[in-house]
Amino acid sequence: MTEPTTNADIEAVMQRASLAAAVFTELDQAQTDRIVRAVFEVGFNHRVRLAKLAAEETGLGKWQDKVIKNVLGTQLVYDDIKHLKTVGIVNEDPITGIVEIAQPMGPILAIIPITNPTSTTLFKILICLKSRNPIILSPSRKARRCVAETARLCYEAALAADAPEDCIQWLPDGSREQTQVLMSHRRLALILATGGSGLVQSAYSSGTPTLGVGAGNVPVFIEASADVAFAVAQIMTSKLFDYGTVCASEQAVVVERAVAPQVEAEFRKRGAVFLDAAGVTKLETVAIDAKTGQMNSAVVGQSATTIARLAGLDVPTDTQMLMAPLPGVGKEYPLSGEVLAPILAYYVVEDFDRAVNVCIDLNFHGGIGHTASLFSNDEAKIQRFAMLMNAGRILVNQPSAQGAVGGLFNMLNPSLTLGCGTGGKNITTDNVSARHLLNIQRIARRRVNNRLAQFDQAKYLDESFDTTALEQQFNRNW
Amino acid sequence: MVQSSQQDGRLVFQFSGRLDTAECARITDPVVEQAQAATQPLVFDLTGVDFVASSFLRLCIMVQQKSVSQPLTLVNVAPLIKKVFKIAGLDQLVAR
Repeated sequence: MTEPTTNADIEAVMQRASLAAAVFTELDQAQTDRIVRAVFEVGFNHRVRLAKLAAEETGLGKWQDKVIKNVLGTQLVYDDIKHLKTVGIVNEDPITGIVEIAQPMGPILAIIPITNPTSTTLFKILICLKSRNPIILSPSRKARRCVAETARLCYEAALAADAPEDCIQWLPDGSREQTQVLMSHRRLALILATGGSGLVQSAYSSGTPTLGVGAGNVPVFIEASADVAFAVAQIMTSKLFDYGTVCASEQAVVVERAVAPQVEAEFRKRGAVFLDAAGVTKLETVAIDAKTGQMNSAVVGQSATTIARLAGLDVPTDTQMLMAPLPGVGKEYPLSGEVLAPILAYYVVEDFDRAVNVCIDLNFHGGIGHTASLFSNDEAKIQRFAMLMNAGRILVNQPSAQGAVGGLFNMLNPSLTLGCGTGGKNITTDNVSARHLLNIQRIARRRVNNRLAQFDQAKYLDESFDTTALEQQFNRNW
Repeated sequence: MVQSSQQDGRLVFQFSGRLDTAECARITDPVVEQAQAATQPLVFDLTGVDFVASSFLRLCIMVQQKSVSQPLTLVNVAPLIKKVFKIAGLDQLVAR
């Protein structure tokens, strides 16, 4: 494909996408599913090469874990959507007479983040094609090559399966200005905005409907009834996955004092180092940008020893995790915010209520609507915790990074775009998938409301009838 | 499949069947050449056409651009195909 560099080129991209959207409307379910299968196969077959490409280009995370992300973005997503009806009549209720028909939306702009570039590309391509929507990929500048290669492979496979020409396009060097032009283009149907808050905000401001994501600041509470060794092992597995680049990974561990010694021993056994106050200050300096209060990109997706070296911390060479005991949550405690790296804030509190309060503080300190995690074997406490969190996903007894994305440790829809609800300025708390990329139109057959038909509607005009009187007559059982 | 003929002072191209990428690759050059040389209004008759690929939409855009002096009109367009032109933003070509 040609490389768009000017607004005129963007116009050409949109024209091609519009033609693809038009041709997509002619495809039936079987043709659509053939295309999706072909793209799944090519993405799955190249999961290792694309993972290595992503790790090499971005310098973030571990290629082995990026392979697992690619597996999620292909195999698990495909398994989840392969039987989904996305063409024509998708639901029919003979009682209500409502028939639901799925229609594609049109060209979709997919913003691709640096943290999960190839997996998010594979995932978004699959869900767009399944819903018969052309996709235009706009990658992070630092992930252009791996995204372009992923898109190229998928596009060739799609074409070979008779997909519409230009059903997949990618912007090799989209400047912020070009992306803005594209975002507000009259022919763009939707933006799938997975990325930083600035970019998501731009998408929302464009006037084009947007499925965005919110920032995470995931608390994990190890409640007194939890299996502590299991909990710590799961948290380590999660937070070390791709060196913490998943936005749903744990950011702070909260424990009740009764189990704190055991928790700390288990963490130490697995290569975690608990810092003293001076160490925490050193770590804050490199992990958080003092001007913005946000995580410093230099530590994102890096190993604990690399970060320790940057911070001037003297830690053993086999250190896996840096634990930062903190006395509070908020701006004055920079490490109580999100850092996508093997760094965990650590809180010890007296009891369940105090622990939940700390989790609420963490949840509302930059992570509203995203994810909260709990290790517990007390069903009443699990439910109480869940009721009090403002999170689209409340994960119980599982690693949150792999849990939130679905399909691995629970039955949530596998997804690399995690809705955070209105708290995160999103329209859904769902794990976004193909079903969100459809316009559902409904045939509403005549089903007269018999109560209304038998009711003397002239009574509505008479104010002497109050609610009780009207409801009695309206609901009268003849 | 396409055949052309003169009808009532118009050059009519009669398409039929499935206008997929392979078929369009075969017919694009002859149609464009003939349309460019035409001195009468152009008509694409889509009676019996049940599928159009992006290539056919591009063929229409090309003919429209290269035959500026002779307007192009699409007639006998099935609803499914009309919707395709509507979504593609080319519905002004379709006769009402």
